[in-house]
Amino acid sequence: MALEKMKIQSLKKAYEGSYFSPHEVRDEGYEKGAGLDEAYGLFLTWLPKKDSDRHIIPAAAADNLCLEGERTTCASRIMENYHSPFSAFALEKAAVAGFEVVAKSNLDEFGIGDSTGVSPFKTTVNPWKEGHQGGSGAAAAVASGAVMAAFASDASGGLRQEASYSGVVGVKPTYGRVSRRGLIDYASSLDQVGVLGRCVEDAAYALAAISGHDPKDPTSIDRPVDFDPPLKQPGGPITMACPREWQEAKGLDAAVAKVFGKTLEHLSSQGIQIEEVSLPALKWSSPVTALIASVEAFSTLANFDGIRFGERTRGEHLQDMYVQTRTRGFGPRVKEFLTYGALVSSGKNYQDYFLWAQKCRRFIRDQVLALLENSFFIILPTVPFAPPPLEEKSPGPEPKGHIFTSPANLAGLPAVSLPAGIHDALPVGLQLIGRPFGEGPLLQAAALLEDIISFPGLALGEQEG
Amino acid sequence: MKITREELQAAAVDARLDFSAEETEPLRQKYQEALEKIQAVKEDMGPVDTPPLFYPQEVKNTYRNDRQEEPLPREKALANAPDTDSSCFHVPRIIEG
Repeated sequence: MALEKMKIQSLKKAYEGSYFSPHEVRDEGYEKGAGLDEAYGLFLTWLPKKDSDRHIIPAAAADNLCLEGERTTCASRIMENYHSPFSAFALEKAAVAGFEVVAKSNLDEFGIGDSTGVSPFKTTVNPWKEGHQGGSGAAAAVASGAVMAAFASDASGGLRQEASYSGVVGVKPTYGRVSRRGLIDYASSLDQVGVLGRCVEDAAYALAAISGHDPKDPTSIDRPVDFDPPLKQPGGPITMACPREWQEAKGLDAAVAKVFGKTLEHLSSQGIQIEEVSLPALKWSSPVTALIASVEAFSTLANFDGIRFGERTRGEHLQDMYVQTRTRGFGPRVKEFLTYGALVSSGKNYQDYFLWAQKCRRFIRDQVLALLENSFFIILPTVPFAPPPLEEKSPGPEPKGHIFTSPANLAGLPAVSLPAGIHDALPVGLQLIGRPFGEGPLLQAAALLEDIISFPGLALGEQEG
Repeated sequence: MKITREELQAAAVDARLDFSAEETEPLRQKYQEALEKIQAVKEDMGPVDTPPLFYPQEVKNTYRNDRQEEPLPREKALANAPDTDSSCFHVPRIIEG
């Protein structure tokens, strides 16, 4: 049945026409998924195959999203044997809409830093080109056709970065659009549960499924979900603001600049109005976000102490046990990030760093919102560089790849990454940022761009209807 | 701002982490570079006089309905703990020495 070449809408139609059963879908999904997992290092835990007649859409969930009774490791040794006592609200909603999580996918430990797809348990290889980072198991699973959609989190751009690396669509919703209950996050004011799909419409299906108010999450906001597929055509001419500062971004790869520049020209030739604007905040956003995220992680991950859950390392007394447990349980990047957070929020540094960063946050948000008053969308590359070689490491507490993505997290705005082109057999992504709770227009515009760009998806290949 | 080894060690204590002597100096240098970059951003931005923004949406307090709900069952709450008896989490002794 070639699930990897189907869109969710096609699968639904196939169920309606009784062309195949959920059992056949599961059988194919588990069989092909196992082979792809072995090839690319996608999953940390396979879930037992269910035996029901529900019309299911095979999906993956990043292993920092809880599923009741299932292992949830956050890709960290400290949580290696943790089994969640409840499910993430977003995954409960996804299940109601027919998404069946077949496996929990690999991610960077706790999702901290750049999405490299390298965890203490597994290394995810880019399905487009051997030897390069795939970003995460979730993105590579969607790209390779192991699942039709995936659910993951985005604190400063990780989900969009992995979407860009693997040549799929990734959507981070407006802060508050999707419940964060049951997401083991690290940066509570930045993290959102988002979705990955092989095309914009599949991503819209998945996002509509998990959106909605959760009375048990105080950051959840009750707003109508108005982007159920099929997506409408945009109502009129589309204008996008393109901040010229993208060309001066640190670490911008010439190949990415070339692909993005050509895409802008192509979009303009097809009637998309692209206005060059200035957004100085683009230069400041990533270090400010890293500073805030590290302090929030220092606080949020304080309860990983070997008492109520997780692995414990023996100590001579309680304090020593905390230190031994955390020092042994967390990996080097997490320890580096938490200590950075402790450093910049200490009594001596709080005013100069953490409080300053929160003031910058309002300043940056206001700049971004001012641009969005005149244009519906901001268009940027997703990541300044192509998927790096597997062995490349993150240089410090600030991720290298979140220069263009972090403004949406600071401002809590919806953003989508979609493939813009290919360079040297690796995908390059572009990003649209929309207005608060403007997921509907954002996804419509992304679908239009997708049509214009006609990116040859890895698994979709010759796409079915 | 110059980061000293003592400041780094104090931050590690706050984070309940321990770094070996070999780990400390490379880490100190990374933090030094990160904060020098922050200093450069500060100089580029100039004074920022806006109020801080701790959440992207202006989060309002929300209240649940005032009715009793079933709590997490005790056995589920204890199931992931490394050391328990039938009703409690066990911890090592608290007094040092």
